[in-house]
Amino acid sequence: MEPPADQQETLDRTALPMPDRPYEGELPFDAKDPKAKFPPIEELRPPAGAPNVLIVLLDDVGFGASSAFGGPCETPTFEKLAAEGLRYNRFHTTALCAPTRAALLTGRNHHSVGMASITELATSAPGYTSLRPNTKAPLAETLRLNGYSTAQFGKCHEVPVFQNSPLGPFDMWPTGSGFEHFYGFIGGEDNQYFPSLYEGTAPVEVDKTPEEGYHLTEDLADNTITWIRTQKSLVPDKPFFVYFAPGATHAPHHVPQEWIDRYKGKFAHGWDKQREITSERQKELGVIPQDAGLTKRHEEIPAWDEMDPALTPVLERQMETYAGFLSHTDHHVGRIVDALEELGILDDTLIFCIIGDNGASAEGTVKGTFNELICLNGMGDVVETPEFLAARVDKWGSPEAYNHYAVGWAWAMDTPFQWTKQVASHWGGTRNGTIVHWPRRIGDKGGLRSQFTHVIDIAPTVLELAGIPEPTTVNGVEQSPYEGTSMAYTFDAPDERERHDLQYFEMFGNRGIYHQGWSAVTKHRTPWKLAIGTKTVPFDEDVWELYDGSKDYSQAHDLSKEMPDKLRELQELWVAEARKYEVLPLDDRGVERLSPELAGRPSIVKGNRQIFYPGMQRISEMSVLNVKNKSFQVTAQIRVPDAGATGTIVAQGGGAGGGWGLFMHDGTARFAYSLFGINVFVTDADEPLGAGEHQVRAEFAYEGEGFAKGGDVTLYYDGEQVGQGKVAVTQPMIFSATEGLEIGRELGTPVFPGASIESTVFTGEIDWVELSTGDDDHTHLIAPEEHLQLLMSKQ
Amino acid sequence: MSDKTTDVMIAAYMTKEPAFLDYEAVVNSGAKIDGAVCVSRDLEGNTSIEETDHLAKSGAKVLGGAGLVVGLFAPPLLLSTAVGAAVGGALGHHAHSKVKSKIEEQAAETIPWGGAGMIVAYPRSSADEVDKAVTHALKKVVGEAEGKKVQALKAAMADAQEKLSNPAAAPTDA
Repeated sequence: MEPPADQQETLDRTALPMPDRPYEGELPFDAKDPKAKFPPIEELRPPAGAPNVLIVLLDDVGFGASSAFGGPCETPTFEKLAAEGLRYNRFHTTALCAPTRAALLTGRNHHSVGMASITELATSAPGYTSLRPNTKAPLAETLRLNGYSTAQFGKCHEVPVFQNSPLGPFDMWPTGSGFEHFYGFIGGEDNQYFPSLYEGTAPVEVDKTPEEGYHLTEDLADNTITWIRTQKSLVPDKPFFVYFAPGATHAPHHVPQEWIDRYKGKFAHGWDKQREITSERQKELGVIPQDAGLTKRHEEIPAWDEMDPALTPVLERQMETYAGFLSHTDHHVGRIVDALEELGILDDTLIFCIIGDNGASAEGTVKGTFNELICLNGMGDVVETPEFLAARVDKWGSPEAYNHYAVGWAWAMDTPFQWTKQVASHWGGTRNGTIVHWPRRIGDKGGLRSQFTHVIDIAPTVLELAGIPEPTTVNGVEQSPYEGTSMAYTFDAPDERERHDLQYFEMFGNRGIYHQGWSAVTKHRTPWKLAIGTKTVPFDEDVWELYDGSKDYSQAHDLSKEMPDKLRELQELWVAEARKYEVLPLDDRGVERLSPELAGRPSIVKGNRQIFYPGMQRISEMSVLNVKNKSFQVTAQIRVPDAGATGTIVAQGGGAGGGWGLFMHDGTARFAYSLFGINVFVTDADEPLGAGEHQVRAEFAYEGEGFAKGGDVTLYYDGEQVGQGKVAVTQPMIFSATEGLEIGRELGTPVFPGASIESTVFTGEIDWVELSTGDDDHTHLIAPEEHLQLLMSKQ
Repeated sequence: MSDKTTDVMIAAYMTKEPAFLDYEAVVNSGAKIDGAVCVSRDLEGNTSIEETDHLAKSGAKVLGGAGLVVGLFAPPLLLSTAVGAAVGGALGHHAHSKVKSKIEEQAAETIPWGGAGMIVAYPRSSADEVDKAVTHALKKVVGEAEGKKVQALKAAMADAQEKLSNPAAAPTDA
């Protein structure tokens, strides 16, 4: 890649945006005057030689999953990149997705940028707000203001839940964070077959069905390739920064059947044996030391032989599906790499391939789940019996499923380490295989690097290699220094002493400290114990372990008893680092943090009444009155055509996760509550609704206190009762990670399982829909003046 | 154990597969039963009573489908007409059709779309065998009553429904 002719090498790039230099010459009256000669308009470009940058960040992949790091899932693209680049076997993340992404994109620790946890659990404590301080500008913004083209594809879980409505604000969205283009989803996960996507900040729907071959990873790769081709076609002298972060391989493990079939029968030996196989393979490949211990299984993780034999086919299928999903992901990353090669820019593109934003996910319970939402609602033990799972074994990975694998498989995918995602104390939660590929710069092709590195090191590495200084001010705001350390020194120096030698870890009270080879760690909470009311021990009762990483790569030999002084030294260091980066106060609360009031974070929802209008789409769950575990009423002012109305008036949630809706079904009002898309509680009005203007209302009267109870449903036309029914049980926590509330038509998947999305289009007219919670006032009708009063109260 | 005591078990299921597994297990358990009914609804609201023929062939008496399982965890809507029509005994083909129709009607009011339920009536002497056979239910309750067969079935059904509607009085074991 040739640098632009005018390289502006003398520009001061530390203050961004760089101030425009005013023209100081004379301005003649007539443009035809010979004196009317001006310097050409300069286009902003990075320093000469600045490479294209592609960061690939996969989701929920453990160190021991991909074949590039000795795992059972075939990943030829990653192997190819590793063969031509460098493999890092001591690269670390934060143990959770949003924190890792926030750290990656800012070069600062996750608490430092307000992302102690996922956005849904944000609190008002400084390190936990989910708001990135403007003193810590993201890498994409710095690159954009230095002349890079920037684009993000895939997952963005860093938008605060109180800013993810159609009204933003959008500062924390990708396009407010330095990316000129964004195509992907906002949230922790998405349905791979029916995703809830945005282009920029506008919701978009995909134009293919799974039957027509749609899959989100392929779609994201297609869009990435198209964008890169366009960029190189139109501004070839300008480097790009592309961040490709597919939802894969986070649950749901959705992947076409043919990818699952590739692994048929290959995991019959179970997860304990798989760890032995993977450990041996890792040593053969040299990606772990020959003396690395294979850590033991904790009692909380069941042995393969302890599992109910009735579950065996299901458990095997879970891993076959996951392996197919990872291979499928690798394939589509490969298509992007191939596109770079076809464009002739692969050698000039710096690729970071980070295989996992944390360890493998153990959030699927000890037996796995056909529908992850069931587990997230704490109902896995009740609903997903072995028979329930076995009856669905052939549907794993299909559009009907929302599946996740068993804890044991996650543990196996983290070979040779202890624990999994969320457990920031141990390498199983934080150590991820990473590949750096840049043929023009890296000479030691196929080399291995073992210096300690961390996701916060990526941003300073990119800036160093692009020749761009770390900015001191961005958009007029003085910047806090990067907290990571450039990894560039490792490219030519496999044996150089590591420069990043101190790093704290913390997630949900699981904590650890790394210092010059040593690690002191304590696990506080078990990831898959999510049930309401689950207790954790006090922090000062947590048991600490001590490991000497110079001799013990995998944290297999605890030295805490033999070396209590060393342990104490590191524990004190952890506290010092925790204070420095706003890790304190430790917060292991679970359900409480879902409540904005208890957590102390803002909420779009004010009061107990909310009004919606036609065309409002994908209003996120956190932006709508919480109707869970309580009574609620929904009222719609509609106009019915002569032929009668049909379609969705209002619906929240989707087919995969569950939800509720008020519909017109062949001219008659219907209230339906879908329980995970498995059962639907339907209440129909006794009579059709005639043409003209009407008010249709459904009241749900929650029975008693507590979680997940059912209740009575009553339907009204214009204040007159027209139907009664029951909902036997409700979802206590969540309907969907990405599907929202819609008026007049549904997006993604319909609440009613099996309905077509086209059938949800309402054939009448909707004036407004009001949602309210609490006890009903027994009028069953909203008078015009009452509606006006609500409107005015919202001004 | 007294055979003067009649038990009625109501079992609730989220889907039809485990319900039919339990139904088969009960019928094939060798236990003496007065009747069993297994009902499911698909996600379009259609009701199926697919196993009644099998039951008839097995020679067991068909329970008339009184007060079917009402939702998964919900209290039943106890319909007096249903109880009246319910208590089967030996039913002729014509009667069987009527009962089947009644079951479908009640199922439409009580079982969620996608869900299933089973009712088994049996003498107390079969209680252990039936209980062991019913292993897949989300919830199962047992009502009991003493007396002549028809009255006892009615009373036991009412007792089971009361327990289903009042969880505190009926510890769940599934």
